[in-house]
Amino acid sequence: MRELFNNRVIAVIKREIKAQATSKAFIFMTIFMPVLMIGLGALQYFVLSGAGEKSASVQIVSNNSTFLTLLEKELNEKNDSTDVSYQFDFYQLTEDQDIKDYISKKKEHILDESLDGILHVNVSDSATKVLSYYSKNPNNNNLNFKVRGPVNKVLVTMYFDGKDISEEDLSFARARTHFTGFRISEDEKIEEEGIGAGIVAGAFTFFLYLSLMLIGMQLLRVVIEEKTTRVVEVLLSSVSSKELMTGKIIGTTATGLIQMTVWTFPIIVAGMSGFIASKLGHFEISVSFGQMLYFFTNYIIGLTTYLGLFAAMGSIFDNDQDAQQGVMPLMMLIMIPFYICFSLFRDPSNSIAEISSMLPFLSIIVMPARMAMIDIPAWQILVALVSNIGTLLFIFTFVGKVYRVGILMTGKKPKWSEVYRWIKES
Amino acid sequence: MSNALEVKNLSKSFGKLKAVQDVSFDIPEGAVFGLIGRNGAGKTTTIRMIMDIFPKDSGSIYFRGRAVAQDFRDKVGYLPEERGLYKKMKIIDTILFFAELKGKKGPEVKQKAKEYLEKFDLWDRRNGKLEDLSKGNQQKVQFICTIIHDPEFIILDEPFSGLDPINTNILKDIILDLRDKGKVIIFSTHLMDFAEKMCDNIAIINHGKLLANGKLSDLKSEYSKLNVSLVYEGDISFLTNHPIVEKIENFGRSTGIRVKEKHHIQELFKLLAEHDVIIKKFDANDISLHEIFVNLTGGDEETTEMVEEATHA
Repeated sequence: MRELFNNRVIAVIKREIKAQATSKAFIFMTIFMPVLMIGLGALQYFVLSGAGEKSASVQIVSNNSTFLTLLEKELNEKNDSTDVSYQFDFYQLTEDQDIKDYISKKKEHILDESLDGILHVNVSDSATKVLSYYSKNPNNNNLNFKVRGPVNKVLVTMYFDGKDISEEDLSFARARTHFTGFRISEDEKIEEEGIGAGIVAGAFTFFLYLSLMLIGMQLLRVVIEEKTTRVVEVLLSSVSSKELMTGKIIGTTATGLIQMTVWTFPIIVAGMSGFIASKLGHFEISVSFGQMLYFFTNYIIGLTTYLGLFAAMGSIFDNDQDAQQGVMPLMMLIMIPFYICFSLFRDPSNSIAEISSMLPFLSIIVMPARMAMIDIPAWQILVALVSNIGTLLFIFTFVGKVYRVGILMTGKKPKWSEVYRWIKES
Repeated sequence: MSNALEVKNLSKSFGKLKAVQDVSFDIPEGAVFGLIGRNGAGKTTTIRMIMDIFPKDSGSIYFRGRAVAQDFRDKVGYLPEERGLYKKMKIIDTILFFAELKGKKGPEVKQKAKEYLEKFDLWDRRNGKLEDLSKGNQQKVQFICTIIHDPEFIILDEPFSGLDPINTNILKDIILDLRDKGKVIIFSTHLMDFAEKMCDNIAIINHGKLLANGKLSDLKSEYSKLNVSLVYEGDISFLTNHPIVEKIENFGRSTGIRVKEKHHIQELFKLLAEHDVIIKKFDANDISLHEIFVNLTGGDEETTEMVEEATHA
């Protein structure tokens, strides 16, 4: 191992870092990615909040004038000035007017979109809480979220009005339920869980996925370039293929580390400095030193493993097109854990994620994301580490052999059976 | 003179194809050594085994009495047949990188890089990218990369392929200059003219087998014993199938005639005179490398691209 760190390997490492870290694509992705992440976050918030939707006019119709007055007051109180997504007007049905007749009278307006919908609330003695919405687009969750609280509150108020019940009881009955998650962890602190953990898990998943893809493909292209320009033969007259591959992988891993440090820097700062954390409130990001240590150790092991495979793949093919097809299985190995991570947001302790966080290849992306969401038993972390290191060692029993033979091959694309023969024979 | 490099019983197969079979030769200190053969004869494969780019199947290679290892590679400058450098790298960075791979760095190497770049009129373009240079200039940079670390051995695989006449001459001068400095130069070529002018020692290989090896002058005197280089006017068709004639080859300016026994040379002279052939030149001591090569390979016209195909499969 020690003979692998000689002046030749160091020269290759230096060249790799210089060539890769100064490429325009690398600089762009490194700086642009955090900006893109924040931008995407903001966009998601914007879309989910319903902001930016065109203002919709909805008529609220009821047989009860008190209900309409109270609801109008309630909606006005709740409405902040920035939210212009709904304009409500109120109409009271006369006693002899049937809602069906009224709807058919208004049908034209709904069809020509001068009115987006009619929300009917029948206030009766039977104490039901039924809201009917008539529209071209009746499944409107936004409207549902917006009005169901105020409608419920008004109905409750009206129902208990005049009954012998204290204001305290009434306010209890009117109050909405609040769902708050608390994280139980080993250190006996019970903390209120914001969505910060989800943000960290999401960011880790995305960063690992993107980095393995980008850096892997970068090395793939470098190897193919060396092969097609035949510079590899000049290199091999000075360094052995083992030294060349070692230098390349170390240099490329270092480049990846630079990128990953830049990407995770905002999380480290926000997660480790108490001051910023307190300002973030519900978005509070908390990452421990141990967690970041695992993240980076895992990243180095994972990236090195994948780079070994990408380098071997690059040596097999001598043009980008063939290589793109050849690396599909590798891409799948990176994509599958990426998608498994989505299941974490539904239920961080689901068993698919739990098992895959300890399996070779999958663990590299799933485990850091799981760690951000929930407390992981120490044995699982250990299993993941052993599995990752084992995979790394296993991969390097053959990628070097493939690389050694592959980089000097040109001409027709080798069959997989031939690649297997290279491994067996060398 | 002691040998700088000794190649013993070297063999290499690719699948069923025997690319190099039991090849042995010695390269003396200070020699310009030519590895001669057709395309696909096994020259590149032999060189790649010497450089340990290909693992050899069997045989051994000794550098000054010791099996070749990294110290040999550090002392070699290698110019492969298929040239290549990093296209997007700066020219000066490229040269310094290849020097560093050989363990040379610092102001001394930088100064040397400057000298070479100035010699080739490329100093002004040192910060440009290699891809912006013309092909000829890229070859010059490649050659600088080969010799920047002041190697004791210079291995040039088909150095003149793809070079225009001017660059060919520049390169030839540099090779001779390096020879004068006492460097050992090994080059492979299928161009007999160059080999004849520049080499003092040669090895001829064909179909992966060594056919001849040694000092060019010794080979010439050995093969010229049975050979006559003839320039004439008249008809010599009577010599075809004549019992004393082994073979007749037309080399354009001269005709090479190979006789079966040494004393047949006198008989040949008499025969020509008897048949009223006007003899302008009858040289029984002269044989070109080309003739030696054709004699040895038996005029075998079969193109042997097989080795290349096998290594590229």
